[in-house]
Amino acid sequence: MKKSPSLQIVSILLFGVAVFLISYKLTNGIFLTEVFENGLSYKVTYEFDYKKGEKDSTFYIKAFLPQDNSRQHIKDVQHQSGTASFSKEQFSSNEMGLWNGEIFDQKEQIRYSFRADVKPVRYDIGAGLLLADVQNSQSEFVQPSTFIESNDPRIEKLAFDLTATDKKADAVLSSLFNYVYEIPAQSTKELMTAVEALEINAASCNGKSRLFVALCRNLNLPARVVGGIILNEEKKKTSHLWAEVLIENEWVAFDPLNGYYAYLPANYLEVYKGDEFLVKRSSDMLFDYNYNVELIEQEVGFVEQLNMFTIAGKTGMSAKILSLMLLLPLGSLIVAIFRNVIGLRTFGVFLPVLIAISFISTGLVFGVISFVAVLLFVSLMHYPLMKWGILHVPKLVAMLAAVVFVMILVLVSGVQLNMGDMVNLTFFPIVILTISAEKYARIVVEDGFVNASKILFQTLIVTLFCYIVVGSEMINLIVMNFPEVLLLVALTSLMLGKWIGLRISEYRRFGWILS
Amino acid sequence: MFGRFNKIKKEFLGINNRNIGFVFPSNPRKHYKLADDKVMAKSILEKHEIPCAVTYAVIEKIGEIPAIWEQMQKYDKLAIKPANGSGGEGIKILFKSERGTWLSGGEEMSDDQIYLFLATIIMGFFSLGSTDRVLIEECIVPHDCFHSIYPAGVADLRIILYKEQLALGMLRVPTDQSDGKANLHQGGLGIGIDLESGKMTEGYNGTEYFINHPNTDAPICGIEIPFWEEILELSLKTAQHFPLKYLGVDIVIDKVKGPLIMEVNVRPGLGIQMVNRKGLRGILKKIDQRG
Repeated sequence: MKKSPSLQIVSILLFGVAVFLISYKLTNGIFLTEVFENGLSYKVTYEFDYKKGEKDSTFYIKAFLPQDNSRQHIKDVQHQSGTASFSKEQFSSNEMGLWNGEIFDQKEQIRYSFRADVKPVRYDIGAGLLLADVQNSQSEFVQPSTFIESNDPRIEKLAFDLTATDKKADAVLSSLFNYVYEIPAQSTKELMTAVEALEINAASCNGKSRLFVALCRNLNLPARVVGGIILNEEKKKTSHLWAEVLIENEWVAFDPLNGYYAYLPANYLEVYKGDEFLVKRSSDMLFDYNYNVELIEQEVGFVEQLNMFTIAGKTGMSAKILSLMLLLPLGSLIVAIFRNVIGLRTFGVFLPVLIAISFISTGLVFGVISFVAVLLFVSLMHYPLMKWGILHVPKLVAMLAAVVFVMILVLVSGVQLNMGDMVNLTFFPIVILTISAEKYARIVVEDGFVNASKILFQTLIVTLFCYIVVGSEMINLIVMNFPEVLLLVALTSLMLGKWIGLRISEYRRFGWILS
Repeated sequence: MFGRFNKIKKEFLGINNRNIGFVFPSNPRKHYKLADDKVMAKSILEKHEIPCAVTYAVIEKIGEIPAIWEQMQKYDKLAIKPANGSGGEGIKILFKSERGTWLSGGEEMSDDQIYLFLATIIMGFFSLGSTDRVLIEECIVPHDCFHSIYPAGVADLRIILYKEQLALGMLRVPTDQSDGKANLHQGGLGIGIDLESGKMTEGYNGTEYFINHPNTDAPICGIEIPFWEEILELSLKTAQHFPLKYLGVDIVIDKVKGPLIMEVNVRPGLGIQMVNRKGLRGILKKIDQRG
């Protein structure tokens, strides 16, 4: 075999670049599981300055630390705590930083900073969702608490007055939300309970959120308050409180102070769940604190950009289409391996992949049945066209027109019979399917029905394997995060293209002579 | 178990190895058409006076059809072929009836029908869409030397040559199942040939080996192929004059003219190994070693 040095160099390059990119991303923890769109990045610093008070020689400071969730990602934590010792502890579902130690006459400081990548989230409350679907009297999140007096008669009366006739969850939540939103806003750092907010009829974020949660809980809607920081470029002392309602197993955010209904803007950093205080400390100390927020200009490096979820977020392209784009070569590689190593025969190289992709939408069983049906339909059409001596290209066009027309008929009858499944037929790669069906028909004519059926069967086997790969959530995540696997696909194909071993089917074919 | 795998691996040539090891390096892509296009293949054969069917005409444009067809009227029988057809598709054999009309497969064809057929070839019906040329040539009358094995259809020989040296050969005869054709995958019977002696070995139909023809029961094993020396000479000469160093040469024995080259193939099939019960890999390796 001729060795080509250029091929070897290209192979090594492909391998090297792919391995470099993948390992860079792995070591830097660049891995996304969904589209990260219109995100913002901030550097947030908890700045605590403290000094000895009257008499105590020890102190503690506790502060909640934000955690990752579906809309925020925390990284690059930097920490400097002077003489204090630092530990982390779990506090129900929250994480809390605890600083303690000796305290002295001279001022000391704690700086805890992190980078927060945040993005907005909009929730969808189904228009048909009934109040009863959301209500859960057994939930721990409908119980009254010290500051959220949801069983108070005044709360009870208001909740009833606002929602007496509503049956839909969305309508009930809107009424409650609007009432609380309309209460005049007041900027106070004082703690205000739900009832106080109601009575005073003026409240800041914490009073409004507690009142909204109390009204929800009174109606047996599981709800809680959530604390965090609104990220604007400033140094500030105020934290923020908003509310969440558990709707269909998802905590849906509401901010009755700023008027965000089932929506959170990008710059909301969630720090803790529940009716807590962001920072607690020992009382006998001189203490000053600030949350310092800086916007990080998004200068994402090339390698970080090389992530299909990021690309989807930046360009607005559908992540699904991008993933299919990547899965196409991967699936084709599987077809190539089946053909060149195992020796199965398939109609075309791309047909099994494309069909497998369409199976994701149609479902496997319905997909296989429709695929075979379309194939048989086209090959039946081939007979008269061949008999009439229609030229190749016009024949393909005629078949294509017929296939599309039949699909429309199927769609119409699907609508008439109320069979939604039929709509999925449109996911078939019609052009490739028609060309392959024509090929199938020719094989039927030239090699007989039995041979053609054998190839069809082998095509289906390969399609099934492609479906397993293309439909796998894990493989999907891998290619989306590491599009450079395409380089490895190319490398494997190059090696496959230079592989001179016998195909497995040939062992059988030739081995038969020896026996 | 593994011994057997190794034996298969060492002896037999698979598709991957044929393409990467032999077809690609020995046959430059740009020269494929010299074999794939029957008109071009014949021009090389004719140039070097290698016996082949006489070319009556080549039609390149639809407008030339009536004039050229007029010239064809002097012949009694002829074969019409698409230059780029494959697998014998689009080949029509025409005989002139006593009344002077043309017959194809026993049925009369009017001039209009023939024009249409010729135009269809040019428009690419048999070459998957790209325009093509029509080759009209002498219709070969098969020598009756193989009629004792099977009386109908046309038997032909396939010789595989590598670096202008003989590798393997087989004879293909029609069967009741093959509709007069001799191609293996169309149901023809392949018969192995001992290249040294020119004697037939066994028949193979894709599933079984035979020492007699499965339909006629005529013995095969040990029968000598006539014109054997000429056939070998012809194959070697063909291999010499084509810039394709791994090729399959198809030969038919004409009643009057003896062996004629019918076709040259750049990707000869691997079934010939089954027919001969011999692997090509070892044979080609020996040729490589001889240089």
